[in-house]
Formats: sequence, C-alpha cells, structure tokens
Amino acid sequence: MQADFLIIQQAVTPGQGEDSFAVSKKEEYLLLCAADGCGGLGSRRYTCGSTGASIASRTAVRVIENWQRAGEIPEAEEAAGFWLRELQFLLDNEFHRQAADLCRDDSASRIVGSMQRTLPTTVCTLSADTAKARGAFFWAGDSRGYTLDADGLHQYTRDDARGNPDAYEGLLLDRPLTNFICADRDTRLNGCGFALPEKGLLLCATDGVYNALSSPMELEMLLLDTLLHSFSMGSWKKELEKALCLQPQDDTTLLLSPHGFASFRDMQQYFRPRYRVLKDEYIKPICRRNHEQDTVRALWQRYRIGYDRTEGIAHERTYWRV
Amino acid sequence: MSEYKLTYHVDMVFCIDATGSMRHVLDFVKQNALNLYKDVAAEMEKKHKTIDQLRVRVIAFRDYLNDGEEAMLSSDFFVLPQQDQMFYECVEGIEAKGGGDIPEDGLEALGYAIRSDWTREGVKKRHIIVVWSDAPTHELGHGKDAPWYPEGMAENFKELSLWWEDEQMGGGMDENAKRLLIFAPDAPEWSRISSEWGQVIHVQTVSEGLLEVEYRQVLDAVCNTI
Repeated sequence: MQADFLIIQQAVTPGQGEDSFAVSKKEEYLLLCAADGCGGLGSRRYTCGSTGASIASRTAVRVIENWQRAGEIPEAEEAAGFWLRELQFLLDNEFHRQAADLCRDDSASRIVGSMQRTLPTTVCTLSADTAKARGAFFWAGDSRGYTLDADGLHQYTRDDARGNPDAYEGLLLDRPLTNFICADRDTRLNGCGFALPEKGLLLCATDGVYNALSSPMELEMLLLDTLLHSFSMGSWKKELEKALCLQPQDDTTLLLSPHGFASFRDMQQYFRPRYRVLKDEYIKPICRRNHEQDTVRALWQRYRIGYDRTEGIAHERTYWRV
Repeated sequence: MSEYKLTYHVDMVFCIDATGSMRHVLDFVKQNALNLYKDVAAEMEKKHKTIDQLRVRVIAFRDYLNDGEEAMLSSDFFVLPQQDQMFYECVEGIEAKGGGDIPEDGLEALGYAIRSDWTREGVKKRHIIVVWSDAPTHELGHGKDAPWYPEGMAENFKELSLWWEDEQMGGGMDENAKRLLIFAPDAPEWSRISSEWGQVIHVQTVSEGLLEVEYRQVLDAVCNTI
C-alpha cells in the first residue's frame, strides 16, 4: 500500500474546529490519535482567542504524541496498568500547567456549574506494532477505536457515558459523558490490548463520525461503500469526506490505517463479500423500513454479536483490558 | 447512502423573578428571554441541526407570603414560531412588583418548571430550564401558610434535588435531555444547585449585562450539548 493513513477532518465552522489528531508510522510502529474538545463543557473562550475545548484537544494530542512508546505495547494487564498510569500522570501535569497559565491571563469566570469544565476533551489513541500484530487502544470519553475486517466492523472502546448504553442505544439516548480528560480532576484512561487482524482497517474516530447515523451498521456501510466506489486512497478520502461531511453537525475526525494489504485493489477485493452481506442483510431492510426504530433495533441485536468487542463481551482477540 | 435525518425537539421553560427589585433589570431580562430561543435556534441552524419543534413556557415568580395569587404565574407551552406573538405578549406582560423581603420563592418556581409537561418526541430532545433572578431564594416551604401555596410541592431542597436528578422520583424531565441555566447571584441555594446538581450552568449575575463573550459561552454550552 502506498499510503499508511487516511485522515478525514472537518469542522462545523471552518477554522474553528475543536477536534485534534496525530498520526505517525515509524517502521512497524503505528500511532493514531483523535481528540474531541468538548465544546459545551469547554465553551469558555480565553483571551488567547481559543476555547477551552480547542486548547484541550490539542494539549492531549501533543502529550500523547510526545509520550508515544512505540514497540512497548504491553502484553498483560499489569504492564498495561503501568503504561496508562504513566500517560495519565503526564496528561495531568500538562493540563494543570496549561490551566494555571490560562488563569494567569484571565480573570475568574462568572459562569460556573457542572456543565462548565476547564479544558475538557475526549481522546482515543491506537498504538500498534504491525510486525508483532499487536495493538492497544486507550481512551477517555466517547471517541472510539475500531477495526474493520472480513467479519465486519468491531468496536473495542466502550464509551464513558452514563448508564453504559451500547453503541445503538447511545445514538438514541444521548447520554452525558461520565469521564473525559480535563484540568479539574485526575485523568482516568481506559485501555485494551488486542490482536491485529491479519488484514483489515484500524480506525480512531470522534463522535462526529458516528453520531449522525441511525445505527452502527451504517458506519460500516459508509466505510465500505466509499471504499468500493473509489480507485485509490486519494479518491477514497474524497468519497469519505463527501459522505461524512455533507452537513456536519459536529466536528469530525476519522483516522484510518489499512493493515496487511498488498494494494488498494487487494483491499477492495477483500472487503467486497462483506459489503454484499452488510448491504443485503442490514442496510436494505433498514432503508426499506425508513430507519424505523424497531427494525433497526432488531437488526442491531444481530449485528452487535460481531461488532461489540467492548468490555461487556469477552472476545478472543482482546487480551487485556484496564 | 442514508437518507436518515436527526430530529430535534426542544422545550424551554423560562422562570422570571418578577418582584419589585427586578424593576431596573426586567426589561433586559425580557429582551434576553425573547432573544434566547431565537439565538439557540439560529446557532443550531449553523450546525445543520434543524429543530422540528420548539416550545417555550413562561413562569413569573414572586413571594407566596407577600403576593398572594400573583406569587406564581405560569403559561402553557407556546409552540414557536407559530405562537410567537402570544409568547411575546406573555413576556412583555410581566410586571416587576411585590416580593416583600429580599429572598424570593425561586425554588418553588424551579419545582413548577421541573414538573412541566415536557416533550417526549424527537430522536434528540432537550428540556431546558432558564432562571433569571437578582435575589437569593427562601427555603422551600417558606410560604406554606399562604392560601395559594401549591399542594404537592417538594417538601425541601433534598426532595427538589431528587426531582431534578431522578426522572422516577417525581421530576418528569428526561435525564439525558435536561439542562438548567441560572442567571442569578452567587447566593446560597443557587450556588448549591450549581455545585450539586448535574447539567447546570450558573451565570452569577442578572443585574449587569453579560459580556458578548460570556453570552457566546452560555450559548455554546447549551447548543453544543444538543
């Protein structure tokens, strides 16, 4: 494959986006990091001209990029715990330092309450060793990590949302976040280690990518439909941008890295059978019933069995979770 | 690809302190109330979020012991923009008078607001209460001896907190949809609410105009979570 990544980023208000990202590939080590500054909680605009949400997502990405421990993806829970504690410590230090700097320049806000936080952001990062076929997602909030292979789309990260709704219910219930990174409290990252698929896509996404769809099945459809109607990574990017960003209701960041394919054509051929199954068994019935909730919910229950690799469901490909 | 479109249903309840001390700011508050729903709708439009239904209800509150039957005046929900003239007349008709001592019965107004007939429709919905007051509140039940005091009102702050926090405990607001926006001083009960209740934004002033940047912050806080 010529390109290691595909990056889609779109702001609702051009130039004022509050998402941030980083990607890198050094030899066999891969990093994808997507952060979504929480625009409601972090709506305070500082004298530097930026909102707290925007500063937060950039800060988180910068810290994670600098910390990146390529080649040290832990194999067991104990090592993973150590790994995450180290990153949490670095994030806390930098967020506290940043908040102190901002306080020096700005007077205390007259706007307070549980819906206002200092530098709030969600984040999801994939760190992978493609040679050893090992990867780890770590995250806070509702930015998500997925893989997509011949069996379909798989979500490994469980959203930090009140009541732990599943991916479909989360779209309907719109539950408040219970955890995210901010300067007001200690960072708590979740993590999971997993075996990379032999062939497949590795993805990180902010909620703008999946929140405007009627079901998780449609995210997979969006990815495969655009892939199969493209002729190169460049044209796939354009198709994805069109599909995701027609009328963006939220800032959108999608980071994607193909893994194990000899060429773009190889990737298209690999996913073609899955595309047909997805279209016939899920998407056509949903469209026929005009996205009617009972139909979508029933199909989701079937789809979920392959999709859900979050902590609620044990899966052989996941080998640690903290 | 998908023809799916999210539908947004937004209900807002405006609780306005209508006592004598509000005289010098009531025009400002009225203007704020009349503009807020339009600004929220415009901000949503910018984000390509079309509100399918927007309703606003008005509650004017004073002091049960001092103001008798005029202590708590409330309207039904106005469907906007269809009923915007009625909404306008309702807000414009509020007069600043009465109130007696310094604290007012703002918590009872909040109780009324929480128990509004909130919309259950729409894929996405928001239940937003906005309070404007220049005063601290009495404790709940302070005006209990007044003949107009409502039956079934929360007995105390703890019960009112349950109404807010738990849909099953008498409140009736969708726990994911609710938002409370308070424009009131840093007074005990208001500050207790902003520190203890979830989903609250407390702007600690009503008597001085909000700076543009602060108004933007409030609007973003409301609209970015819809």
